[in-house]
Amino acid sequence: MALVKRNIKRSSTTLSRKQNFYAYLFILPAFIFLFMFLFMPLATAVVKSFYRYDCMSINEFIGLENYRKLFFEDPKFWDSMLRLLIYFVGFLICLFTQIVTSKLVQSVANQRLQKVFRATFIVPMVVPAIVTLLMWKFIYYPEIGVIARIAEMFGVSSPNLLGDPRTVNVSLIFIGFPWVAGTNFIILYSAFQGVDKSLTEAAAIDGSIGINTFFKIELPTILPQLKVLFVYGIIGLVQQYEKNLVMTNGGPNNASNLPGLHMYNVALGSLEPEFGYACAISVLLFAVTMGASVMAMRFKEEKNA
Amino acid sequence: MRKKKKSKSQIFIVFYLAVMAFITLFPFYLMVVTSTKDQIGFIQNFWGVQLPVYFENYISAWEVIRVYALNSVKVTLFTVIGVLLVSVLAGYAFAKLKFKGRNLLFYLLMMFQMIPVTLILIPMLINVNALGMNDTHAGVILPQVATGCIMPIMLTRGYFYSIPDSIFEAARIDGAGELKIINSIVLPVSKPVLGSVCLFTFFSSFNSFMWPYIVLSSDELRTIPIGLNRLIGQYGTNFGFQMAAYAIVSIPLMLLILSTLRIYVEGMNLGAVKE
Repeated sequence: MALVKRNIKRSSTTLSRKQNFYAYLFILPAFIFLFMFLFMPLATAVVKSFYRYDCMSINEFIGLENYRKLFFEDPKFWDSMLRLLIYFVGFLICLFTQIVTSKLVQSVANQRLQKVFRATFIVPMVVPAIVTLLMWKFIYYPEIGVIARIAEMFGVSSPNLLGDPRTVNVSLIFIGFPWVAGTNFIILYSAFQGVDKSLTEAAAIDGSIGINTFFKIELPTILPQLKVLFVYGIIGLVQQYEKNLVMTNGGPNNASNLPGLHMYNVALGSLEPEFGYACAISVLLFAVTMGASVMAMRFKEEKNA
Repeated sequence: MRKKKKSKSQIFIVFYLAVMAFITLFPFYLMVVTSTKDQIGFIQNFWGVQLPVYFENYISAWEVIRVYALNSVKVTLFTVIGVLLVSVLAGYAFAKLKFKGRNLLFYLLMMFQMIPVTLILIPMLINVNALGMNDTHAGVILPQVATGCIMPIMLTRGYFYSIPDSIFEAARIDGAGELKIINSIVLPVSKPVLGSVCLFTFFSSFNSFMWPYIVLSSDELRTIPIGLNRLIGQYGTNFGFQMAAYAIVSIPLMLLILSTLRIYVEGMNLGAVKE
């Protein structure tokens, strides 16, 4: 009996040793990828931020010079940081529209009609972002674009929305209006579907109707999802400069420049590439984003408690 | 009384949603309509359909984007394969194998997920340059696998975790190796999660713009999104031609998602908002 037990024990330790081996073998590819293409770039960013570096011949250690320049001699960068506030307001408006619309889709009584609306708001989201952007370039195109044609119908002279510093940021935020089609719609829609029916019914018996139930019961119930969308939205603000790159490249006259785009142009948009300086910007933006997301999560936990 | 009120609000809701749906879909209507017009039709008849339909735009657009399309297929295919391999292996290890440091390594993985990728594109480029992969497809694919495999690992781990342990024990007693277990037990029952991993990776790789835009400088290596962005510079106001190119790219994708809507939505719910 004891022998059998010992045998089992021995076989189970060899089993677990074997499992150890296979486990490390199986997670190895993932961690090689992550090390090479995520961790190493981070390290590169930190190291090269202390260098004057152009990715070709110049590679010279200059200490904190890049950071000094960034903090004290680059008003273009700080202007673009401040501009994020406009985009933050835009993000809030988008999120609000998404919440209301997905709730309304979910409350369409006719099931078949509901399915049609649902598909309408999901399907366009797979259209490549670049196609959406180029379509909107067409919509905004001066004199022959869609908005110019509509203005013409009303006898108004056609505005150059992307070419005017006063309208360019609002026009960029407006891209994709009504902003419903996308991942957020699916998340919100299924969140509203997940709200316990008995809660809303009980509220209805107590005389609560429509908007009241929405604010007092449904929104609090889907708060976890809302928080996730909010945190991702904040992080996305700093990250998403693709739109501005494609539509205006920060123009006219830097009126739609964003921090990320500035970083991009410092390294790749100029004849004298300053990769070291771009790395310094990258490190700063990285720290800001991580700080913001940690704070947002802290806030999330506090609210949960 | 109550019922009447309800149907009235239903009418309002449907009206609002119809307006929203109209605005969402209108650009696609314009895309299709404009793509079937010649230059004169575009100027004279902006909003409507031109008859007879002018198909030449599609032929010339396809001639131009064919190279980009082949590149996109290649890059996307290898990215999907890479992500699948990496995430199935790692997901299985994290879900079903016991090893030292499992929790620690999993936390490390979650930390990696928080890295804002678009902010480190420039240092990524420096690294890819140093590896000699600048302006190659490998330079696009490998970093994409790295940034795209974390979420799938979480998804596969969660899914594999729910497969009962007793099956694995029985297989091990029968002497099956771990790879055999993956191949003959795990994979056959995991089609839903593998399907959504494939779809997610496919769409995000096919649509990605910034990274390939930065890495690929030779025109003959460019993928579709970058190729499309070039058209607007080269073909100026020949909108019929441009819209035909956009339609060739987006309509197949829309049909694909329409036919796989269920897998996609379920996958979203598996992964997106489970804290």
